[in-house]
Amino acid sequence: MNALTLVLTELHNLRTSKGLARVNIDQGSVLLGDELGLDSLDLATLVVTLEEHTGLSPFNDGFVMFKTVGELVSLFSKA
Amino acid sequence: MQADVVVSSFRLIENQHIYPLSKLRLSLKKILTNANINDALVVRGQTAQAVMLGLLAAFEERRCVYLVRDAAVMPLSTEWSEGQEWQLIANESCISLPNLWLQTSGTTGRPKWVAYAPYLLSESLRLGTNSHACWLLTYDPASFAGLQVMLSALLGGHTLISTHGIAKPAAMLEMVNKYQVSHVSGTPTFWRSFARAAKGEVTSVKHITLGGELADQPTLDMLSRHFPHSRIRHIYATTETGVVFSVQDGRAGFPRSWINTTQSNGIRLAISDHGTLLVSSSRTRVDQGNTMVDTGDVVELDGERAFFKGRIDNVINVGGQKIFPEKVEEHLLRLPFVGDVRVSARPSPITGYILIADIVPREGYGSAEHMKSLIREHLKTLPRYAQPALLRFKDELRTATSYKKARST
Repeated sequence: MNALTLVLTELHNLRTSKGLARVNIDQGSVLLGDELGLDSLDLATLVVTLEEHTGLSPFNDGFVMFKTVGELVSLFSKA
Repeated sequence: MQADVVVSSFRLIENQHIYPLSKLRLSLKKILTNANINDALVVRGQTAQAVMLGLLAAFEERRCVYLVRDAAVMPLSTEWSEGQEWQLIANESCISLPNLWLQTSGTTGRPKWVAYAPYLLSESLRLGTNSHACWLLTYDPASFAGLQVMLSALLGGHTLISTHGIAKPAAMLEMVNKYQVSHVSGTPTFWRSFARAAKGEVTSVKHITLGGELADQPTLDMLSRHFPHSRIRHIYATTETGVVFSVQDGRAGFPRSWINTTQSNGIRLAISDHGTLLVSSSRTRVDQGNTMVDTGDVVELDGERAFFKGRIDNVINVGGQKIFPEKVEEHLLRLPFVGDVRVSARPSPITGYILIADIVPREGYGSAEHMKSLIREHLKTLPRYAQPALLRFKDELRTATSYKKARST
């Protein structure tokens, strides 16, 4: 599974668990806020799930700014 | 030994060797052959046999004895050599009072040496009259809890089975059945693991004691279902103060009325500004220190009961909210298919930390995915920040020595 598919799958799972209806999510979608209905705790959950699935820890050396789905995907695309 | 206590029938079984009392006394005599009257015996407490020799030296020979739990932490004088279990040192301060010295584990700060007059150690023991009693030692022999078990077996003239070198609960179960063990004392983590291995009832076990970690209600309930014919109690003790109290009503925590009153054993309880339990004892001497020992265990009052929330140094900060992982574990243990669980902190770029849960499932409750969805549902009654973001299934949890749940990640 590539990083984009993984992020989209986990985003849909997260939204389903919150009882939110399915929406179109693309690389330009903003993670936090009204568009996806996610708050910081949801985002923290998403990140730890991605870390577990990929074995990657992109934040080990400090915080990296990311706002959109595409930016998060690129953080988890590095080998 | 106190003058009126005569022990004649004790035996220790360890690593398939049987050590009757006469053999232990003979070994001790050999060790002390060339000792001066003031020499203290220093025992490295890895095996029950070595620690038992230390106990006999303190009780019967009125020697000053040091029980070293971790030689690397606090060597007393000279270097230990490989495989060496005891040494004699000249120690002037031991002349007047033949104390037994124990090391604290260091969970509440730097490890300290604590001195016990031997008769005070035996004070809180219930020896019973059953000469056929058989004890299983699951603790570190040189810890306070381990000593309680060893002394109970020794002074009662019973049999003691050491689990030195045995890590798996299935192997311990085998020993319990083989020797028809009647008394077992262990941490709640040990008991959850043991009960998973036991499946059916272990009929020989009549006395169950929980100690060394905070006893939670789901574990107490599980044990009373699993061992309906056993007496179950949980003991709260620290190395610094000895046994603080013992609870036998099957409920977690302890009666609120015990706070701020002096107990019959001379112990006084109070609660600090941080909510931690303070204990004072007139019975022990701590080498440096206050009269009140801060246990680091946070207490919460609910009606007539005082409950433990967890250790103050285990608190996890998730997005500014403080979580006791023990409380989340207790919540998860209420599910019948959760055999054991450890909740720990994972650094998060967004919330500082986030919780993850390592779960040991019981068999026969369906697929992992099915259990996970039930767990997620069950977690919804907790505040969101207290819900673990990640659930991982494991075969066993990592434990520190003597079956304490390992807390570091």
